[in-house]
Amino acid sequence: MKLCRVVGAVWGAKEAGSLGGRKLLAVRPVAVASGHSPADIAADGERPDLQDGLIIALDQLGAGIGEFVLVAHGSRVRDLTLGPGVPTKDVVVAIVDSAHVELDLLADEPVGTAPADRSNGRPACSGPAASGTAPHGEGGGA
Amino acid sequence: MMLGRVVGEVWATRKNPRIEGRKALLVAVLGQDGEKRTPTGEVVVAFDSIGARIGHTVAVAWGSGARAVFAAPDNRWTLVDAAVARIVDAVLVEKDGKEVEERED
Amino acid sequence: MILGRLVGTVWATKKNPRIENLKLAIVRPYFWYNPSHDVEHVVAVDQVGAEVGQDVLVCVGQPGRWVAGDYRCPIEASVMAIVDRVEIERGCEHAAPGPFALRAQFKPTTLVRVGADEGMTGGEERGGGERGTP
Repeated sequence: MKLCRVVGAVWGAKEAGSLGGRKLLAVRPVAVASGHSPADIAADGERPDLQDGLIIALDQLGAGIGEFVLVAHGSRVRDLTLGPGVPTKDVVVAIVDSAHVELDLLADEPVGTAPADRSNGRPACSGPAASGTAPHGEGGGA
Repeated sequence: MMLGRVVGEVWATRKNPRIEGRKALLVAVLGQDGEKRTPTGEVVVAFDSIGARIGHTVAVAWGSGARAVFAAPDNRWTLVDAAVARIVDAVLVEKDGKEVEERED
Repeated sequence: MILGRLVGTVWATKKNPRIENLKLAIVRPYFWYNPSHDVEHVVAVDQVGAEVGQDVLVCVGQPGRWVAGDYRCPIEASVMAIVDRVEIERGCEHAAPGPFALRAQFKPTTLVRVGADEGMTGGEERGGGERGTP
């Protein structure tokens, strides 16, 4: 699955019958390796914590714009959640409450370092994703 | 299937019991760059049951093909994503209207 | 399968009922083959009990869906093994250019180089004490 942020919804009057009026969300994958948190918004409105690509996923859980979701890809995933015949391969399977990323782990480490030695003492913060507070670990990376 | 070159091995003791005893190899995917086969930059971890070693050129099956390599009575639920299907000694290609053998060793 | 590093965790209460009570881990792949979308992470179900910072093997697709004896989980990936050691032939890690090559800046923590090199015997390499060279 991919951790993504809902940036919009896709509406249209004309659609394939098998889509059945279901809700389509436009999501952007979170750039986990960037070290940015959702609080970092550039002056021009660009969000460096998100990757550039856009994924259109079908949602049955009622996610709203600004929420973080898990999107799974695959025809079998579609069969298990929506049933066969629905024209999508990307499905929202969870609405995320919070996500922690240890930024120190995103850079190269000397071979042989045990995981316990790697902590720099700063705890990753957490918070409700819906409120917009940073779900990613603090710090500027390695 | 894809052609690849074995570049390493992965060792793990704590794992899902259904993959107990399987050897995992790092395989660099080979693509065609003009006359030569060169690594494309993609690497896959594949299970091996036929004894491939570092340096071998191998054909790797993935998806349902990989599950067929590890044949089981009901192999739909075999836990394998990519598997070595053949250790490649030579590839026959056509050059100037003739069949030419390109050896991989 | 994908070799990656477990870098984080995801908590979600509102989710598809078939994935209730599953631990969700964020894995950053060291390399990948044919990803479904061009992303730099995978969220995988962890049933092996891996900790943040460990190298893990992740299965994607159909085999990844086999979780706790049930193959009907609508997931894409699951952690299959915790990696103790990755042996890679000397000189191979930078031989493959491209976005999903074994990145110079991001190598498995358990990486050990094998194979002869000028001035070094194979025995000096094993033991995992070598620093990666850029």
